[in-house]
Amino acid sequence: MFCCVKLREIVYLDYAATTPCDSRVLEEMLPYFCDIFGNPNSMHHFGVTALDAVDAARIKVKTLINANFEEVVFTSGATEANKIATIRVMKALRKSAGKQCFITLATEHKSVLDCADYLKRDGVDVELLPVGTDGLLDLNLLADSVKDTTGLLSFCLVNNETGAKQDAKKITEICHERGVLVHTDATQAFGKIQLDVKELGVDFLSASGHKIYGPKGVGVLYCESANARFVRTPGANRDVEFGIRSGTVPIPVCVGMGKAAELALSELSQNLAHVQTLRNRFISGITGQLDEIYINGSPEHNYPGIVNISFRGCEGEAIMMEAKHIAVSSGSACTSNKLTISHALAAMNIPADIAQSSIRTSIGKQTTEAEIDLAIDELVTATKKLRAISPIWDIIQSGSSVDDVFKRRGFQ
Amino acid sequence: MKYSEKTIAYYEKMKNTGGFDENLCNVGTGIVGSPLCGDVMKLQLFFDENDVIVEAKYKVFGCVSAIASMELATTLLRGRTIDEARQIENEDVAQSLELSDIKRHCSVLAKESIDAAIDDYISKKNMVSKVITVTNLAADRIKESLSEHGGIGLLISIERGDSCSSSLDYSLSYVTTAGDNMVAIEAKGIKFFYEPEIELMIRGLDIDVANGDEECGFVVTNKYHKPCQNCSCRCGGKF
Repeated sequence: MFCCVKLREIVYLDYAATTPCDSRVLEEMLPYFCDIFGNPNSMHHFGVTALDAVDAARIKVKTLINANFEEVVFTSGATEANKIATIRVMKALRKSAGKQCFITLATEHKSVLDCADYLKRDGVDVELLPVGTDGLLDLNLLADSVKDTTGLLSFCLVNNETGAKQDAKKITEICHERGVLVHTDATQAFGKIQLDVKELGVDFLSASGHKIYGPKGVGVLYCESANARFVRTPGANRDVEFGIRSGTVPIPVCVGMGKAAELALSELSQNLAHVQTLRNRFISGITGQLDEIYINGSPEHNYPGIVNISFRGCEGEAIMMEAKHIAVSSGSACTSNKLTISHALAAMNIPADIAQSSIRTSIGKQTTEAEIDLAIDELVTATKKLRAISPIWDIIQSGSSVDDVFKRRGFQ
Repeated sequence: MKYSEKTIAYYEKMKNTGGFDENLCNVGTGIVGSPLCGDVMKLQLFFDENDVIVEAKYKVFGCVSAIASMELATTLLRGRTIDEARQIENEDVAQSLELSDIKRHCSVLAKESIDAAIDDYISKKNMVSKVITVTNLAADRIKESLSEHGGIGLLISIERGDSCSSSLDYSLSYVTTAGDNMVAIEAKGIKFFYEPEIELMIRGLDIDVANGDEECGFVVTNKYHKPCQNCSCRCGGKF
């Protein structure tokens, strides 16, 4: 029986941010702290049993994505996997193949955009591709953007803010035809949707343990065999994570990741159907009671568990304050550290006031109908209350365009 | 987001939300901020005939700090004159609410909304009082009568005139009090009161001393009022 998530009286609906450990995962991990605690590099029995545990976990992970055993490397998380797959690969491509250009999407997770900034400062030609208002990459634009010097494309398979799902197979085809390697950040897709790396053809893939009811502090980097040379540290011990990531492997969390992957695979279809049903319930519950509601992201090509919804006329942080009994997140400027609107929503050209009103609700495998109904009530009540005191809502009700009103006033 | 208890207390009050008809002459409206920065504040101030803020209301599209800042600001504004209102600084709001650095801009925006609302009120006043003209002679005579009879100003009211279908008869009477919904304007140091609905008809009024045998001694004409140039004045017999 897996654990419930009733954190006191607040209903958790931020599964895209992180997930609690499934109790079966925790149970699987526990022996590896005090009992089977050896260093996998040691020759004796303690080391061998530890190494066996890591290998067993690796098999479970590879099975989930149809990878080969030696193509799965444990890291500290998806962020580290992203760094290896972008920075190290580009460095190697510059040296060996004279490739100077790196492309990624404007809606990428910050960990990838930070890598892009680093590469840019290092002299790499970095291009951020725009996306449509649905968050999807235009394939023709991608084809046109690839240059002779382009070495690598990195894209988020499922966007963490909107759930928009890119066409990974076609993107990879276009890139491979033009000699470009492909990395996908699959943090929000891994263990949630069907993923076959051989079928998609991607060269590198990142994933994270704590997004799939596994522990924090562990992730996975998939490296297609032929590409391992781009990420292998020169002179590294090939017995440790194939020479790609050095350091003593953290056995307990790797075991946890393996177990989480195993459970995710066996429960994938039922979990996916469950979140789809609840997504439909959530959206129809809200749109049935409120108008001027916008779902940000593609309505068809998405992972249903992430719902990015704008309650026009109200600001996101105030909505969260009013909806006291649910835990969600927002794309508004007030909720960011830099006082800027979510870069992903801005890149989708979503109007400023709508982006400020966005709430990201993400549904988990054990979220119940009652929890969704509570979320609907809280958000509808919050919206009605805040709309009553909103000058933006008055403008909308009067039929004027919000953008026009503020342009006339001389504001951006 | 960790807020101070004071911020939360003001946020939860939300007592001074709402607004007034921005077309009223004694209402000043200030709208500051933009959706791009995530805070839009609308402040409306209701002034009495002495330019004292009787009531302050707000609407906000913004975060908890923004709403709390406006709730506090409107509480402080009630009963203040224009000069006193301008003395409210953003630091007063920021300190009272214990705003963190990242939320300080909400208090700055609140201060801007106060200045904007006051400026709006003043520009309205200037605009309307230019629209009524009173000759110096008429002004002197009116002031004499006011101090003799203890009035605070003149009430302007209108009726359909007898001369033709588009004529209006303006009536002036001395008053000692003004009704709650009356609009107050000033020309040559004299206060004029009228109901907000007739504002458009007030524009273009000229008050002069009558020559000859006009009963109350004044002539009221409206330069925008065609074709009947001269509307008669009736004094209502109040003085």
